[in-house]
Amino acid sequence: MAIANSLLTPESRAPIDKPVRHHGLVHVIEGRCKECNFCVTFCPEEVLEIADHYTARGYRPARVKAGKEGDCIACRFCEHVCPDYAIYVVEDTP
Amino acid sequence: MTAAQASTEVPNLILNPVWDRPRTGTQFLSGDHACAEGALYAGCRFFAGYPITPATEIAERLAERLPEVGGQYIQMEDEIASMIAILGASVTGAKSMTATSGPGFSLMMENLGLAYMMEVPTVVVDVQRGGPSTGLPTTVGQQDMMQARFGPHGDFTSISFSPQSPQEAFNLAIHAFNVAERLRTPVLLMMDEVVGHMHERVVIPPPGEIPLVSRPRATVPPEEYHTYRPGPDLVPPMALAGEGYSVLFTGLTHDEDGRPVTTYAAQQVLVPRLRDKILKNRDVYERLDLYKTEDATTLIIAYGISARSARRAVDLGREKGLALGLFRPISVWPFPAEKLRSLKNVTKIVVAEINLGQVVLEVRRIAGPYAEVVHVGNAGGQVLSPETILGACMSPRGTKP
Amino acid sequence: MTADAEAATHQAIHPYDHLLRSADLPTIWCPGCGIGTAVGALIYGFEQAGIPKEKRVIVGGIGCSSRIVFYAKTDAYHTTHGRTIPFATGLKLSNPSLNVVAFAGDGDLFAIGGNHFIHAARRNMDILVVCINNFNYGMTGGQGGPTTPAGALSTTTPYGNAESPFNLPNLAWATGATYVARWTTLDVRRLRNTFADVVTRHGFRFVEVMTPCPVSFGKTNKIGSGVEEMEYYQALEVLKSRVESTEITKTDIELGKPIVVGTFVDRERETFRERYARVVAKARGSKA
Repeated sequence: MAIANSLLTPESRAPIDKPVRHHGLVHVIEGRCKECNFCVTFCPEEVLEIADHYTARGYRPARVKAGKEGDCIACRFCEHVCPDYAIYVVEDTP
Repeated sequence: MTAAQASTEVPNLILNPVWDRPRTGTQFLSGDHACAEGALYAGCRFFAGYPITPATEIAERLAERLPEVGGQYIQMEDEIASMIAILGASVTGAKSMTATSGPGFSLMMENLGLAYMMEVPTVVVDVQRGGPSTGLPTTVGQQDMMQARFGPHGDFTSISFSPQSPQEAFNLAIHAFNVAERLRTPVLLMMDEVVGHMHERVVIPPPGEIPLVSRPRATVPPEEYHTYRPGPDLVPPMALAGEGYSVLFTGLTHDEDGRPVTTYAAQQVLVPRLRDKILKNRDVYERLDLYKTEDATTLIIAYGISARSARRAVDLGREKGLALGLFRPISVWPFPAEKLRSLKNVTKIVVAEINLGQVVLEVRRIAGPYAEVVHVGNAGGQVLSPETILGACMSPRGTKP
Repeated sequence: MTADAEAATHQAIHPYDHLLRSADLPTIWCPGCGIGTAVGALIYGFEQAGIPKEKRVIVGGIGCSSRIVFYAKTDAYHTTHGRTIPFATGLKLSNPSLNVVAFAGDGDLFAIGGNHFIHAARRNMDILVVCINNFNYGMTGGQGGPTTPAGALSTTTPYGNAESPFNLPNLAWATGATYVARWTTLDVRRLRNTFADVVTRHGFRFVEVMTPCPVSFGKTNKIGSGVEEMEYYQALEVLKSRVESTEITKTDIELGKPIVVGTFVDRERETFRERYARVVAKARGSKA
């Protein structure tokens, strides 16, 4: 009956299919960014924007919007779609 | 696909040739077949080609023989594909070859240039026929000689050999492979239709008797290796595909790491080295046959089938009291200029070739300042007779074709 | 960006830096071009499939796409225009243990290289061919080519293209390819998974990757920037998990019309290598 009892605790009654919200830290390698806007446009959480400053190559790089650092879900779409290997995510889901 | 075929456990007999099906001994072979046997003897295990008269027999022989030794014969869709397939094979370490005639040779030019630029060893056989264009597919010419020298666009220095017999076709095929490997360059074997089709006695020695050369390989670890850093002989050691060097080969002007650097400065470093790599290594490839030249005042210069007639012309002339000699360049390009200039008694040179004047231009460049240089030839289709050549020697200004 | 964040990015190392010739980045590709995305997807495919690094070989021809060889850190060969496939053929046949990918553009593979494509497919040569289809000749400034849609503008079709383009999946299927897929660079996850799958297979495999070309094709045809071109394809894309061969002609690409993407062909056919192995066995056996 120990098993039956364990099913009755509040923790054990949490839905087993509730998704874990992943989190990631976005890194931009500014020198490679060409301001193509793919990452900014297609991020599902709209975490990214184009910065105000210019890199040495004359592009304004992508950056995480102020205050949105916690919203990256580490889907890595930016990392996959970036044609210039200028952005990547380090997952730090607790 | 079976696991065995997909895996690497099946021994790769292309990269690691075996000689377990030699056709040694004395045989009666055409020049084409002898050339094919020479290639096999040299360790060639990849042939990509396209049928064309009068070179087709080389392909046919290799279609039969290459599978016997575990090699690869593939008939590509055209000569352009053939020329570059052999480069793809060669970068893995395979000894590769193609064979063609004039029209196919023209198609191969761009990728031949790639071979020079990438420094990929390979052998290209041109069994010359009458040209230009479709010309005389089934009869002789020696009309691609300047194309052998200057075919691809850009500045290149080529090495070419011209056999005068099936036996020589066998021997020069081996020499061509050795030179290609040693100097990391394509090498041209410029036969002609008569040598290609004539049948003569050919002696094929047992495997191992004639020494074989393979390309210099990369020996330092990848971090220390530079794809195109030349050795003291101007030849860069070659890393093969699959060895872990992440080599970068390009036809663009490149630096020592193979990176494209399309600048004036990079060009001045690379292209002259490609030239000097050939010109400064004459001892590796130069071959010459001298007949009665010690006291000759009139020299006949001839190669390929024309040299057979020229030799007879020398004998006929000597019977008449003429101080004739035959200077037969076996390596026609680069022309053995110093050896020619060293014949101090020569005042007249007759260049006998089955064309309207090609190698004679080079001879005139070299010897014109001190000797009278005349041409005897025809527009293609017929071997020059000894009498015709002798006539040019005897008349004041050679003979008209 | 704060100074701290700035400093952090200077030390940033992309997960693929050790698989790229990183010292030569950024690439020459235009902002908004999708070739880099396709290259990253191929690298993922190699990694995911566990192909040993020294066995990866990439062959390029001439054109923007072929410049993968300057960035992907594998044995890489930059050959002549249109001749990517026969070079790859010679390479694969001589050392079958190598994993050979021919990676080039629509002009390189289907104009000047068209003949080589159909013969390699016919023979079922053991190579993966990736066609970056940006519907024009990008490197030389945006000329029309064999995949430029009918009516489209380019520098050599200033009044609209008078020709019809190839339907690449149809062509690949008809000439014998055993695996055919088409994706856009926006379908990057599916593209990555496709590569991870096909690099482990045998036979003639073909993947068409539609990419934006905002500086040439996209601009001339007023589709817009790289993002706008991606959104244009996104809007027109129709994903089919399987197209029957009888329907493969319905995968044409026309301006403004739906574009079918997906895996179209996945079949078994004896490869050239399998058949030639039998030739060798016969030749060597008969003289034993």
